[in-house]
Amino acid sequence: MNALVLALAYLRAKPLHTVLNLMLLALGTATIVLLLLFGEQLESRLTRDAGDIDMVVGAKGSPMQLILSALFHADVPTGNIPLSEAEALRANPMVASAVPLALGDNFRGYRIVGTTPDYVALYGGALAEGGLWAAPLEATVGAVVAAELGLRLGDRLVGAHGLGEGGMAHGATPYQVVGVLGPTGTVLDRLILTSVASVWAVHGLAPAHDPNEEPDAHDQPEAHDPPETNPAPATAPPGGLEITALLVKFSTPVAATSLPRAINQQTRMQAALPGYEIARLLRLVGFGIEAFRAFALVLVVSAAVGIFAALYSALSERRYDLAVMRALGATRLRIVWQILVEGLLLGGAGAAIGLVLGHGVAQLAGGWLWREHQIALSGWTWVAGEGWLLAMAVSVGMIAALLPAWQAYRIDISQTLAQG
Amino acid sequence: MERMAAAMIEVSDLCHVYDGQTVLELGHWQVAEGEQWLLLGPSGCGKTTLLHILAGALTPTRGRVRLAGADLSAMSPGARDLYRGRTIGIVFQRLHLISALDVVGNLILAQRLAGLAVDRARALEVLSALAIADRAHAFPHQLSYGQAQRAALARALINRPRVILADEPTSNLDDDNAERVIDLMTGQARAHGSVLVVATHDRRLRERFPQRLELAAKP
Repeated sequence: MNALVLALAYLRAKPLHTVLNLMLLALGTATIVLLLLFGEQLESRLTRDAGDIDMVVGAKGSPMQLILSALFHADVPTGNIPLSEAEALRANPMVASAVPLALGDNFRGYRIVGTTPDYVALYGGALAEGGLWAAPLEATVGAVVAAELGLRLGDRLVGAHGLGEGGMAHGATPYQVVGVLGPTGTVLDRLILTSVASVWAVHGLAPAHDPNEEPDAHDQPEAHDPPETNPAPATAPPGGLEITALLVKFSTPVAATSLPRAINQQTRMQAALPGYEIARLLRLVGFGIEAFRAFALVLVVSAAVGIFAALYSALSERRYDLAVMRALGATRLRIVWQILVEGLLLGGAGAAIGLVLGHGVAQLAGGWLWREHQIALSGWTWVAGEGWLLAMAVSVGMIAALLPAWQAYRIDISQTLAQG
Repeated sequence: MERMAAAMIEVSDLCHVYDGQTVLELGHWQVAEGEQWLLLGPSGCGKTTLLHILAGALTPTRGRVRLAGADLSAMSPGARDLYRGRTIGIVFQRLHLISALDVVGNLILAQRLAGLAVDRARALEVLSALAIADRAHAFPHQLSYGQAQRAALARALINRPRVILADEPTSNLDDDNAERVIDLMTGQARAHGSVLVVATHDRRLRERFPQRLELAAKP
């Protein structure tokens, strides 16, 4: 009959009080766990997807939108940029490398990206089977795309216009899967990669070969006219060929200060710095997370008040029990310990339930977020802050028990028993 | 001093003042091993106060109490608590079984709180002796009053106390039941070789106890 067993007996004797207090504490803890998990996974995901790309160049508009669309494939592009201007930038000595992206189509919600093999190298992607795209209308698919859609080598897929499901299909120009990439844990896993020229070809623009050799075709992969179901005739659009964005690595750190400004002021293009935009995004999201965290703290504090009220009111009912325990030989410290153990037990159990609940909800919500928004959230990871959270919840239980424990310490055996 | 060694309870020159009122005055009182005493007197005469002082739950304003050879007032509070748990068994008027624990749990708690090893066999043995072993796993609210009274007595006996103190054990009982409870108490005290001190205003108990201490009502 140690303090723990007795504490359990008392908690069992008041199931409603116990369950309510556990619920309050568990909900508060679970909310904080969820926020911790979400915040950390979002940040690590964003940093991973940004790779070591120094600058994204695309059409003028919101820099955030440019980053979101070209880097994370999570928003529509700001527009297109002339291939000729992109090529001019690529020739700049401050540019170490520049990977072109041509967006505009999707296959069952997964984006088809016209690019070069350098794009795969940016994320350290490796082939799981087959090869990279080479001939026109060949495609290499990311690990998640292959797994989710059950794509195999040799399968044909018909792109649809737009970046979400349900666009008009490019029925006459199916891609052929020639390779599958291994998982990288980055945005690469969710993309279908092909050449820029193939994207142009699907939209009936220009011959399907290397963009570098074809500086005088035109129209945009984004905003073309309806007869795109009829692919082949390689018409050269009057405005020149276009791509959607360029992912740039600098050859010198100095470029970060001068090059973006030069592009923004002197060209029809826009330059955005991923590091800056991600920090801005995290600040925006962070504000929401802070608000939720404050809310969760309110839950935790009300749980503390609940535990305090439960222990305090139980104390008046239990005055005789405690006096009797003293009469049976319990020292004052033993009585204090008894009350503290009950607080610790409530705090610890509430936190433990909250941790399990938080991870469980993260896992469930992760499944939904993935299906609806392609945002990855896993419940099966451990965040460093959770140790502190557990410690905090246990302390909450203990602090709530302090005053009742002090009251119990001061119980006068003789007076209490004489009243009874 | 040899004569004193045999005394289980020795009170000398005791006085307790509460709220400016003298609630207890007792010149000299001595209880030898195995004796059974009745503390008699009307309400407010200081019976409960004396009982609490004997149990070390109350420190008298003046005077000395030796219990089983030890001077209670010379002990540290923690040592006094443990000494009480091991040496004294108390039967409360309202029984005060711990409601969150079953009967055997109440007995084991008494062993733990006195700092003794848990001995389930001993607990069941005491319950058997009081003929309520079959209620060992019942909770207090599931017991009849008679059963609860025996459970409370069992809890007072579990640590083989050298002194058993009982406060008004019969005040709520009819004649038959009062008789039965006193039979149990005196029988068990004798079986354990313990001193028994019963505080009561119940005059029915007078003839059951040859040794009586009458406390006078305070003006």
